Amino acid sequence: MTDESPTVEASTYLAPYKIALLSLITLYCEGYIPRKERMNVISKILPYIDLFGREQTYGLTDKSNKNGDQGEVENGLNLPLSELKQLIGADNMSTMPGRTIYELVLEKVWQLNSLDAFHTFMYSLRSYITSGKPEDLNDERAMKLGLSKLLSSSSILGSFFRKSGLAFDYLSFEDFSSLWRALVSYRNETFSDYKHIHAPEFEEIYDELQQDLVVHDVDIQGFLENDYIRNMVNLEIGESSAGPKILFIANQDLEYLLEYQVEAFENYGGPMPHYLRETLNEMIRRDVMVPSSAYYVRYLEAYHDKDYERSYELLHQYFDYTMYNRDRTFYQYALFTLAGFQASFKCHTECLRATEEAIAVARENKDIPCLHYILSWLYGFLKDNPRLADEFYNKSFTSDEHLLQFLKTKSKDVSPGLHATAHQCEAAHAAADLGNVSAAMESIVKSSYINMTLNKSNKVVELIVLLSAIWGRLGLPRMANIYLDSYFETPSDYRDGKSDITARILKAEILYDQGELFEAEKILDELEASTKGSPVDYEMWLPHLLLIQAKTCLSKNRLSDAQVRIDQLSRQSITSTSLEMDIEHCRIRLLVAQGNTSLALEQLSNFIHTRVESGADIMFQIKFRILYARIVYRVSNPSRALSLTMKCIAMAEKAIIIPLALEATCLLSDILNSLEQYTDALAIMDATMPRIFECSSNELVADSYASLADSNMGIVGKVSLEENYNDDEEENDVVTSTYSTISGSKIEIRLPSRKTLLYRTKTYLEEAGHRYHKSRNYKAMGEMGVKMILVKRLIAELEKKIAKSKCRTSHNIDSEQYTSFQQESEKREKSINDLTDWCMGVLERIQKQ
Amino acid sequence: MSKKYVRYNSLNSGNSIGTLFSSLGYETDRFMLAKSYFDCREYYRCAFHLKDCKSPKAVFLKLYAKYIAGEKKKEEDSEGILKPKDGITSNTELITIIKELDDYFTKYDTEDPFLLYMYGIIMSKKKNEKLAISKLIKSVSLYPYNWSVWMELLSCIKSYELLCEIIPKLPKHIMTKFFILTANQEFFQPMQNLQGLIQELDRIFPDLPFLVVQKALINYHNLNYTESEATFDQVIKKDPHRLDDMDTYSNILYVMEMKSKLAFLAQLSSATDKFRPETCCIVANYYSLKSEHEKAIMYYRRALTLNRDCLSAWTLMGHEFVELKNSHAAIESYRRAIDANNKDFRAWYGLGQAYEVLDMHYYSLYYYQRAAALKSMDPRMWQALGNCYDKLERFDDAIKAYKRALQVSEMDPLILFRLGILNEKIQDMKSAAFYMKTCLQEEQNEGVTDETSKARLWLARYELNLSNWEQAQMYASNLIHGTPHEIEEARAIVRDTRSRIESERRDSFINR
Repeated sequence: MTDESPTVEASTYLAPYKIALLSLITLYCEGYIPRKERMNVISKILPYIDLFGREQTYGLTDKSNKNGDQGEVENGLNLPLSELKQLIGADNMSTMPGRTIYELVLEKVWQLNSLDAFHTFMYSLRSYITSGKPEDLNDERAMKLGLSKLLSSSSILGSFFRKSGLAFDYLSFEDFSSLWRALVSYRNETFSDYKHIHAPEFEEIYDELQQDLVVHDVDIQGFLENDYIRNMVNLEIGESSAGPKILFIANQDLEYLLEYQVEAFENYGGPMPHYLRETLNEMIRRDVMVPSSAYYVRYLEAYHDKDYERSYELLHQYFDYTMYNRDRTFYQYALFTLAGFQASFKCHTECLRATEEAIAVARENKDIPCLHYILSWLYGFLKDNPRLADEFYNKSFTSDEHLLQFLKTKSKDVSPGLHATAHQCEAAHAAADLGNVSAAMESIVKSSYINMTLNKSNKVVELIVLLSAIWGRLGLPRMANIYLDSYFETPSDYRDGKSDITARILKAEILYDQGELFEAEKILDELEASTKGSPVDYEMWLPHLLLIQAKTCLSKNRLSDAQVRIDQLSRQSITSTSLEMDIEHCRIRLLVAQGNTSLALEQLSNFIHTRVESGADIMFQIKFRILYARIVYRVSNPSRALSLTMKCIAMAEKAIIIPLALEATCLLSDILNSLEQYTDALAIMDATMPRIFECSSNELVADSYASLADSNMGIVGKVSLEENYNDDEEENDVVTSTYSTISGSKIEIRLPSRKTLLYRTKTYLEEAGHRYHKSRNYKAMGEMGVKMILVKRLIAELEKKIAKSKCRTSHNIDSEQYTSFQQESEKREKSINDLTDWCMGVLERIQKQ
Repeated sequence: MSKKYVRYNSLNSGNSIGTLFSSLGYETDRFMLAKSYFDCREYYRCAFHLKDCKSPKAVFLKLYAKYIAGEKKKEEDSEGILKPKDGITSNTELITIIKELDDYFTKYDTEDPFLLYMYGIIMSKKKNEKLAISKLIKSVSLYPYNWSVWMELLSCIKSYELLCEIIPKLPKHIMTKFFILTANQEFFQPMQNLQGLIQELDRIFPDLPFLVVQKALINYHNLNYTESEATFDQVIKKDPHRLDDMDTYSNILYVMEMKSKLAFLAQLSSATDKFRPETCCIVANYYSLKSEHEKAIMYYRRALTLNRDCLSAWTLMGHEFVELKNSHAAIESYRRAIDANNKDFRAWYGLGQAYEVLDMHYYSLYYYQRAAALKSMDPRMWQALGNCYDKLERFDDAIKAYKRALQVSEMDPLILFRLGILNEKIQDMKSAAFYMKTCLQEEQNEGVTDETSKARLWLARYELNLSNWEQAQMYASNLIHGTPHEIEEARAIVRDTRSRIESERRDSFINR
């Protein structure tokens, strides 16, 4: 066979490999396939016959190799006889003694010794089919034809025969003869096998050149001796034939393959298989009619390569070919797709124009389902781009709620899927805008119920994202985790690539929030490995990874690294608003960490005015305000910070965003500490600790421990300042202290003893340090360390004092004992001093960095 | 090669360029310009630029361009094959061309072969064949190498008698010989009449494909299919891309039912050019042979769209319509075949058949007569005529027709049986018995057929009526083939005769 690439020709349905399959099935009808092999053989070839089986054929390979390679794709378009041989088993014997099934198939195929024989074979297909009524199944006809079986026209094999027969009827003579030539070229590879079957007949002819004439009808052999004529009709026989290799493609196969490819593209991205691309190019080059979905595949390819110009052109090309299809026009879909396309390239105004026209055209054509799809998509789009929303709502719908209401009420009649989406939108809306949580939950349940009845798995992740957002607001990330984990436990067949990526990113974020940084980064790294090289996927997960890395760097106090990440992020095109907000949040935190507090404050207040207050998610509104309060507190204006924080707490409480409320509370206690209102701070923190634990965020817990420790220390300081040292301290955990109130009356309050307080502080610091370590907040950890040393020193001093006083009071201890005790305590003191110095050094270094 | 192409080519190659220019004089440049337009198929433009030219060649080119343009318009207006307007439209340029020609002839009094040819064409279109023939003969006498004139002349000749009349008037020239050969072939003359002529031409032009094909065609018309097939095979091997007359070859293969070869021929020709009427006819013939009549009709239609004068396509399409029981369409296609060339006996015959299917025997008689006149040596025509007369109960005429059929064929049992039956109908039992016996004798040559069995039964009955019991018994007992009813009848006769013979024996025994 020549090395040059094969010529590509196409027909609607038939292809040479289907002729081989038809031959095999006629063998089955003629009773040559033994009873015990029937199931085996027929089930093996079924994927090549049946549409549903076909998906399986592709499906088998796509998990292991999403990008596809040559062999696999050719499988969808062709089944060489050699592969058929493997498929049905080379040694499977038929009922004809001494012959394998494969040999009989070969014989059938090679018996087609002329175009006419081929025609007769194709024409005879209809005689294998029966109407399917039970009385017809074993009628006389079968007996007459010598068939052991007839095919019911409604069976899979029967419909394959029927379709082949119909396709044959529609073939023009030219197409038919090119199919015949393709068949000749297709079977050529098995010429030696065929010769082997008929060895004696071929051995009689010694001349190699004459051998191939044997396989032709006697009547036309005379012509074929003439090389020129033989060339004209392209009937070279034998493996070494010089004729061009013909790849004859059934357009229907190609369409299936392309549809599969579209799906693969939309789900996984990845480059188009080389072989498919070559075939398509060859077809276009030779002016063979290509199914219009080919253009769509090419569009998707260009789109994935982020080639705006090319994909824009290809999109138009595709829709120009498909505008009028099956008595329907697709103008609105074209516009809708265009809108989506423009949106993804961030051409928002263009996108809105396209959408408006799409809505107008859909209305004009009374295509209600499409209209709903467009509106539902638009709703989501406008949610992500609140600035565009104002512009749009001024024109058409009065508000997003209006639009949502419209969708919710009308979509029910259009499609249940859309109805589910509408409910989902409502839930999202409720979650975003201070809505009623129970109403949101209700909508989610409705939506998921509809999805479940529709058996749609692709919406699950969207629901999980929504749910986790709601649970996250309620400060119960564990609940979100439950859904995610159950999602990951579903078999991978039911998940598609895009949802998978979203779910994993979500998981990583939740883990990060809980302070499980290792885990979070691990998940994102895995994601990087599993989505090799697809630019769209890359775009999906990369910002998240960068953001998490930046946050981590910030905690680790590696400010320059964090800066690098933030710079990288600013170069990315970020489509999601929430991500954008998160990045901005992180950037300002970085500014603060770098010491640019004034700049940070300025930018932050700017940002809050321009972006946050105009329709951003309430969560971000609070988040940025807390940050603002924190900075204000840092630049030592605690009283102003106090009022800001109080406001934040009120807002968060109203919007039921628990984690933020807790964060603000924690900040409040810090502020109180700095205002030396230690007992108040302690009281607040004591009350909120259970909720904070519920939140299971390491950072928050650590912060609150730190705050608790500060309060405790403050109290210790106060106690030691205000009242005399009580010798009974060691016996009692509680000391009675007298506070003078404003009215002058003296109230006795019982405070924990100094020792208890110190030990408690120590525990708190340990906890905080441990938590900070977990969330890799090394800076805070260092601080805790230093504080810890101070506390330990105090404890040591205290113990020393107690020991001294004990010695003094009891006089029971001999002088030797006392000396050793003193030495020991001095040693301990020294080591603590050294440690303190070292720690201070470390802290300084950290701060310098 | 299509006719138009031949005509156009003759203008190029017929004259040596030198003589052409000298005859054109100062009009040469204008002529060259116009000729280029003509070659680009811009006919009106060509005619416009020649409007003031005086030289005969230029005038011819002008008028011919107008004629072609008119023909083109006519075809465009007809909206396709067998559509309502098909055949109604006419060439509107004809009148102006005649006027110009008449003016030119009266004004200059010259006899230019091409102008004469033009005149001939117009006259032939106007159905004034006599004038056309005389003009065309004049044209070929002046310039014999214009094959288009010969072909036009042939199309004006409606009968073999007329051809015989004309032949002496033709110039003595090698082209005349070709013409005579072709004309004889078209009038289905037997091989032996033309043997000498073919040999003579063969000597001068050995292996000329045209001649070889003519030989094959003559063989085909004389029903020597095998020979004809072999000749065509040679032509294909020598010139695989030649499509001229290959549709006839496909007819031969069709009749011989060589399906695979016909399929191969179809493949070969569509590899050469799938949009040639010949190719379409071949493919259609193949489909017809495979009983795919709809597809066959589609390809015939295509052939006709490519060339409206493709006579065999019309006829064959008629056959397909008959197969599909669409007599109305069949009749129209046959009629068009005849209008394109009224020498096609198959079309006449087909028309007759179509009307016969509609039980219009009297009406179909006319068509069979025309067919029989065209192909008097074909027994099928006479048989059809006989059958018609039989149906019209004109038994004498029917007998005459069948007798004629018998003369031109080798003792066909069917004809003999029909003759027998007809003679029975006119109460000529003796003749009837004679034909029946002859029919039965044919069994030795042809084997047992339905007719011989029927004849046998008839004879048994006949002998029974004549009380020749033993004869009757012999005939009846030999009857093996036939319908159950016939066999039952034969058995009854056997039983009857046996009992009669036995009773006779008994009687004679008693009488003795």
